[in-house]
Amino acid sequence: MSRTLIRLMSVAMLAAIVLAAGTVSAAKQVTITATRKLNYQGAKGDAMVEGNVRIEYGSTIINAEKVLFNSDTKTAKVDGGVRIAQDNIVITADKMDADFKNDKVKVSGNVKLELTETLTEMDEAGKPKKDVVVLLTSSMEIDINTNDFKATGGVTITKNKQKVQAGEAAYVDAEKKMTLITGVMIETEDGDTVKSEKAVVYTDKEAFEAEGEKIEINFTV
Amino acid sequence: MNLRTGLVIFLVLALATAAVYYYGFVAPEPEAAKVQAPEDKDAPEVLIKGLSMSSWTDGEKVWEMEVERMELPRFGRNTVLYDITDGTIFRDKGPYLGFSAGMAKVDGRNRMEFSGGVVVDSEGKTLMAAESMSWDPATQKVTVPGEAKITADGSTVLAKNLIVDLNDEYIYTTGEIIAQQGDNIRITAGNMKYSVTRREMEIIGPSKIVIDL
Repeated sequence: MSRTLIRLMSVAMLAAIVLAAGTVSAAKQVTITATRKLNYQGAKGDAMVEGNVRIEYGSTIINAEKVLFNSDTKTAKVDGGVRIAQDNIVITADKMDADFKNDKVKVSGNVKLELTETLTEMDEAGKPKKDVVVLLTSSMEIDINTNDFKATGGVTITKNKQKVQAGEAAYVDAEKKMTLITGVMIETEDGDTVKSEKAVVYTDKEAFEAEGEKIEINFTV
Repeated sequence: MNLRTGLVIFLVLALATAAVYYYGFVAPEPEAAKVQAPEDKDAPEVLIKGLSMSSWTDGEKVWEMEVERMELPRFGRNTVLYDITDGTIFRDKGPYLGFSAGMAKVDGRNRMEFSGGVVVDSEGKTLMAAESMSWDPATQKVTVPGEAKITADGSTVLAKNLIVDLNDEYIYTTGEIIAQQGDNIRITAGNMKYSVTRREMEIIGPSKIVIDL
């Protein structure tokens, strides 16, 4: 066997080891810190943490004053106000139920979502414009793995000076697309309104699409 | 025989008699001088090997233990026990906790300072292991000044400066603790209060929980 062949085999084996190591994903962790108190019932798996509670899960940071965490079900519950920050999204709400096994977070009560989006359009300095979409609703479910969310129980969205109201909203982060259904009404900067059964708002564009059999447009001449 | 010769014979006989008397009755025997052992100042006054000990209060057994060796020192009041096995603390007329240790010193108030690998067990399972531990039967408090390892309900807690109140059935720590629940949960904190009966841990102050999903 030639020396060159041995060298090639060594390189191939090394590459195989590196590739194999790369496929082993790092174990996911939830880290909870608190400053005031921890009450842990090992038999039930319940941990009540109080005082500046911070939960870190991947790129998601959850802040609250009091959190009930269950180590068996890997769930967290907040009743007294919560702030969730993930990438370009910040959510505040009265209550939260998080399921870290399934990457799902449900928030309810005075839910406010702020989504900061970098637009494709440029400003005068030649830099991409930034836009903040504010969504108010009573209940929302977020996939903390994909950043997708679904809001129910009445939704109000403000984007620049446009205002959109609907019964429900569903957002797909990969497409930057928010689909609104049930009693959709879009109000433009000039006070014009568009009523439809369905509308699509693209968070990275200054445009919206109204869909449905009946679209009602009211504008001032 | 003239007077001079008689005087010499008398003196020789007198010296011989004196020598015989001295070596026969007065001078110590050479063997006896060799046999006498030097005094061992560290030797106990009393040494007892292999004994069972138990303590009773108001007709109820408080504790019992098997001891390989007990020494009552010549100086000082502390009794020293070696190789303690099958120790039992009783409560409500039944066994409550078991214990074993390499050594224990007992003072005049029956306070015991255990050392040399102390193990406390509950229902046959190790509850706590420490290098040293003191127990005051009067206050029913166990103090571990160094590091202790507590095992209960699938959890392991490493703690320092630990006090066990056997009356209230609480474990208190003032040093940092590291608790491990199974393979997935680790808690680091300080100032722990653990209820043995409720199986509940309370931590006042900063804490950190890490959960592997």
